[in-house]
Amino acid sequence: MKICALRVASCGRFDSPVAIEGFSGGLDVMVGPNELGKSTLLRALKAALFERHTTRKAEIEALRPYGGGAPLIEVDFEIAGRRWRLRKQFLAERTAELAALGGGSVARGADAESELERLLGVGNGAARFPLLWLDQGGTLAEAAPGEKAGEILRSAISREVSSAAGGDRARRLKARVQAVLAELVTPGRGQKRGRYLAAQREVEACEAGLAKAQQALAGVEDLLGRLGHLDEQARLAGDAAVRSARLRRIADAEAHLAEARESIASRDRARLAVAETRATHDTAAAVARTYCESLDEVVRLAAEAAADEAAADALGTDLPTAAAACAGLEQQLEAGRRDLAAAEAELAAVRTRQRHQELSERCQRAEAANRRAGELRLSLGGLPASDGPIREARRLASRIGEAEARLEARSAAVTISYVAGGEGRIRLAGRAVGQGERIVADAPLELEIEGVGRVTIAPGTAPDQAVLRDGLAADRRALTSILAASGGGDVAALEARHQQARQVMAELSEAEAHLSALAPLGLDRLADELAALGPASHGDTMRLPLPEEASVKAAIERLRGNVAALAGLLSVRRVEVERMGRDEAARTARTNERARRLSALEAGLPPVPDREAKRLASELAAATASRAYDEALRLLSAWEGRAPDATGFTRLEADLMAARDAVMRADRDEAALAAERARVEGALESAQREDVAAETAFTEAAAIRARANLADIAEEVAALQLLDSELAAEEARLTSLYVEPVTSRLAPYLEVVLPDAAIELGDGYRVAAVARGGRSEALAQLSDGTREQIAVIVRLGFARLLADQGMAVPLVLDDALVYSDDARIASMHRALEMAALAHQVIVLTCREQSFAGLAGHRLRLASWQPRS
Amino acid sequence: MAFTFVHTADWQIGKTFGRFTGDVPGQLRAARLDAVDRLASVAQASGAAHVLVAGDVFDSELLDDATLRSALGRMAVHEWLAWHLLPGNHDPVRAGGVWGRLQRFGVPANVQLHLVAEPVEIAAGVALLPAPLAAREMRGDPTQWMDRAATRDGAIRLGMAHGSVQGFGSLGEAAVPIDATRRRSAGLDYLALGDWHGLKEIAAGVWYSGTPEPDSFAANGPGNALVVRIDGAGAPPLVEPVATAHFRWLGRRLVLSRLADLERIEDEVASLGIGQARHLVALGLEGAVTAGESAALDSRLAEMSAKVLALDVDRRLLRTVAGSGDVAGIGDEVLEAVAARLVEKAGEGASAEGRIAARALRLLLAYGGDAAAEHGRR
Repeated sequence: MKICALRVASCGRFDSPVAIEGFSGGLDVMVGPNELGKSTLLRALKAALFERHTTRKAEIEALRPYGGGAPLIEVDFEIAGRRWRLRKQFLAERTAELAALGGGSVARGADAESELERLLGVGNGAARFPLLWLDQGGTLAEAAPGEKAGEILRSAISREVSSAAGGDRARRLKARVQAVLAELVTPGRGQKRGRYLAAQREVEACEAGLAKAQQALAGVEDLLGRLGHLDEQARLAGDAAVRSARLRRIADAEAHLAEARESIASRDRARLAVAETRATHDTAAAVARTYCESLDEVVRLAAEAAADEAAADALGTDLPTAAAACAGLEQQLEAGRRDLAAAEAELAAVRTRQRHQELSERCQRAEAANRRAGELRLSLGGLPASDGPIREARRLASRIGEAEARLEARSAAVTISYVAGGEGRIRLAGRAVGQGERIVADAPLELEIEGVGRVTIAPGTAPDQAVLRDGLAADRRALTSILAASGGGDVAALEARHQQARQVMAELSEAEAHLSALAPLGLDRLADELAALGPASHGDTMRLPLPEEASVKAAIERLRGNVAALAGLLSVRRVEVERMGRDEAARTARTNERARRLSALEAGLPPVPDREAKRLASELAAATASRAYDEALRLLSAWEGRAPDATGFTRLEADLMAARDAVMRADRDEAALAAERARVEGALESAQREDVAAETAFTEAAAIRARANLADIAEEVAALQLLDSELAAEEARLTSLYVEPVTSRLAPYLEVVLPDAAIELGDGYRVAAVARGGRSEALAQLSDGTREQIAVIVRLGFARLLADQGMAVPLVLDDALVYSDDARIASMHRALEMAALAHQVIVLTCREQSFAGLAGHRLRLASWQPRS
Repeated sequence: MAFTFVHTADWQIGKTFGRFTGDVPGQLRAARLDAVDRLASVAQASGAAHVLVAGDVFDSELLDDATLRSALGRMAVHEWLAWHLLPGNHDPVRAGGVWGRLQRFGVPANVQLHLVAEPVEIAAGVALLPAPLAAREMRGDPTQWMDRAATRDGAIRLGMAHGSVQGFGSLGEAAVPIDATRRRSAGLDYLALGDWHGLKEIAAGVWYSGTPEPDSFAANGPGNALVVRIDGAGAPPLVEPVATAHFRWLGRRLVLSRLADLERIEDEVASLGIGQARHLVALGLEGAVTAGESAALDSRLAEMSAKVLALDVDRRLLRTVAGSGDVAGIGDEVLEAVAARLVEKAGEGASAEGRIAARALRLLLAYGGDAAAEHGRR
């Protein structure tokens, strides 16, 4: 198909009729500025070819001019070498007319539409037009054709690739498989849905129901078992032998308890008898024992009285003798103590005199030392009191010497050497200068030479000389002042006075130390101490010769020993006398007590002749009571063995209680068993009414069916997935077959625009990638310019395929290349020029300069006069 | 003195048949109750006045009252006939079980419950020695007591027990051992056994009657009762099996090498005529069919299923293989290529992968056919 002319009236921005005449059928280019109406013309062309004249679609309404009116569109086109004119008016005055140019039929209205459909291709045939008509901005959109356009392409391809036939059924089958799969599992994660999910839930519900039913059934089985167990228990509880045994146990326990009580009573009686016989026995034994003891004591007291009398006789002799010895010793001791006191007084007097003498001597030496110190202090009055002046004088003298030496070094030195006869003729400051005298001229000096004149010597004026001289003068003044303050003279005199002062100070220190040693607390305290010894009142005594202290001490020691020995001996004697006194007193007391006791015993005893008979009678009574006591103990022992203790009795009582409890418990248990049986039977009846066994069987069967159903659907899903994957694999193989005719046709154009690149077409002729330089790039990763170039190149491939298969359609580009650079757009021009050799290419652009290099026929907009 | 009675067992009234759907379970349950009437007819026809039911009268101890009352009612109707019921492993005599409930309901005069192991003279000169089960499992032989059981001199001694006869394989489901020589050791004239649902003579005078109404596809001769005639103590019993089944359970295995092989079972079902609706068929298919045949097989089985009461098909051992027409008949090169690969995978045997591939192939053929039709419409 080729477009030959396009005319519009009352269409979009074209209020006035316009026309483009003279399409070449090859490369037709319309260049014009924005708002010229190029896109309006393209929409008008589409409307005329693909919209029924009766339509009221929005696209048609959009063509209505602002000023109103009904769009009129007329298209001249050529198909299979025959030219046609299509004229359609939309909206208000709807008409359609299709006429064969050069004579022939004219169809109008619906006939015209039908004839047009036939010419363009029935059904999907017309879909190839949108595939190749690129609007503004359309090149960056997805380059893949739609479903209908895809079919057109496949149809064209199948004309040359016979092996590709049948792919449609596979695609439809795949679509159906995926649709069925989508009803059963979710895309992506493949989770169950639809009847698959329902089957899964049915299984879960059945299994839950089954578990519940089985639990109920197990519960019933448990009830049945429980019932059997209860019956067995009831049978055992109701057994006559068992019941009889329980009663017999009570009787036995009661008999044992009665017997125990009797034994305990007998035991208690025996205990009473034992107490009574023991009392009788104790009394009789005590009487016999007391009587015999009284007799024995009378005998013993008589023996003791005889012994005491012998002792009293000896004591009557010894006691006076001992008392006399004591008195003698006491007298000797008193004399010894007096001698000792006298000796000790003599020793004290000796020591007092010694102390007085010592203090007196110390007092004299201390007074002498004190006087010497006073003298030395007086001698210190004219001497320097400190080292400060002498140290300062030394320092100044040293500095003066040093300054003088420096000044001299800086001054001229004049040495006078007279010639014979000239001595004394040279004078300095009025005095004659001696022979050989050396004069240092540290200041200007004038030598007067008699008869000759004056010689003035001026020393050099070094800058520091004045400073030295000033310093020297100051030091000399200071030294003079110090020496004057220190007693005058020169530095050597000052040194001598300083040495003298140091000597006096040393002596003074020595005198003060001596005084301090003699009278540490001072002279006054020493005098007081001496006075306290009172030498004046003992003047005579002091003059007497003193005995030796050692001999006095020895005499005292001897006297002390004598006194101690006498005191010890006296103490021994006194103890002995006291003991003898106490012995005598004790003997006297015993004698009195014996007499009292003997009197008392005799009062309780029969006359002596009857005493033995009474002793025998009391011993016989005691023996009789003892035998009665033994018999009572034997009986008690026998009953103690038979009667239970408290624990045993309690146990017997407990046995009886337990036996009675067992009977009561058995009665209670029987009642409980009956009640429990009634309860279990009730529960069982309830379960039987619900027929849990049948319910379990049904539920189990339902669960089996549900599981089988789920497995079946799972297998169906697996089969669908397998089929889907197999179909996908086959489709991939087919795709490679299908795209080859397109890729082979677009290759020449690609070679012009993007040398060494290859376009990979995928499913539905979508551009999967562009391979360049050994690597593959996704379309989205490419620049806008490259993407729009590839989009156009792919269309060129489609258009060439359709043209080759006799289904040619013009390729229309409406400002389709807007991002391409100059070099690429030039190569795109070459590609379009190549394509125009095989089919019509219509280019609409507002970029006059960019498309100046594009060959082809330039279309011009002209006014048009529609026929009425 | 001759004595004739009917020996039956394993009624298992109240069995649920949950494996089936729809009204089939109900029909099967009803048929087990109806069997009581048919047994009465057998007794009447043979001149028997006693029916010995050798255990498992009821399917469960937990049946609802209505079922129990229905069973008693069915027996009570035939008041001229004495029904001797023995507890089996499905309905052991124990507290809370069915027997106590029956007694509470009131047992009809012509129904005797043999709940205790002791001789009962059921007719003049005829002693019945029952061996009721008190539990589902028993370690000891419940018939052992019969060896020492005294009966009147010259009386016909009939034993009735429920369990598995030792030395006879693992017959029956009850874990209850019964000595096969019991008839001789106990001096029995006949030992009526229950538990194995099929008909079987263990030894002379020792029989399993089987269930009167089949309840499984086991091919052991179910659906009968035994009419037994004993002419006197020590006389050999004359045993005659009589069919009592209403429904027939057919278990068939069929090896398919082609779809036409299915005709054998189709013919068999067709030959049943109007009796088809009283048949349940379990069909185990083996061998292989082509994918195309598989769809047709489904169709024909569905057709057969509509004719019988129930059809249970097990095709786990049936493989789907590529038929010569399966792939070639698709008429689309692409689908044929896919089908060829699926055929190859399906040929990997009865593995899960093989079954999935076979099913995928069937789907392809089914959907592919639809796709072709749609293509044609275009």
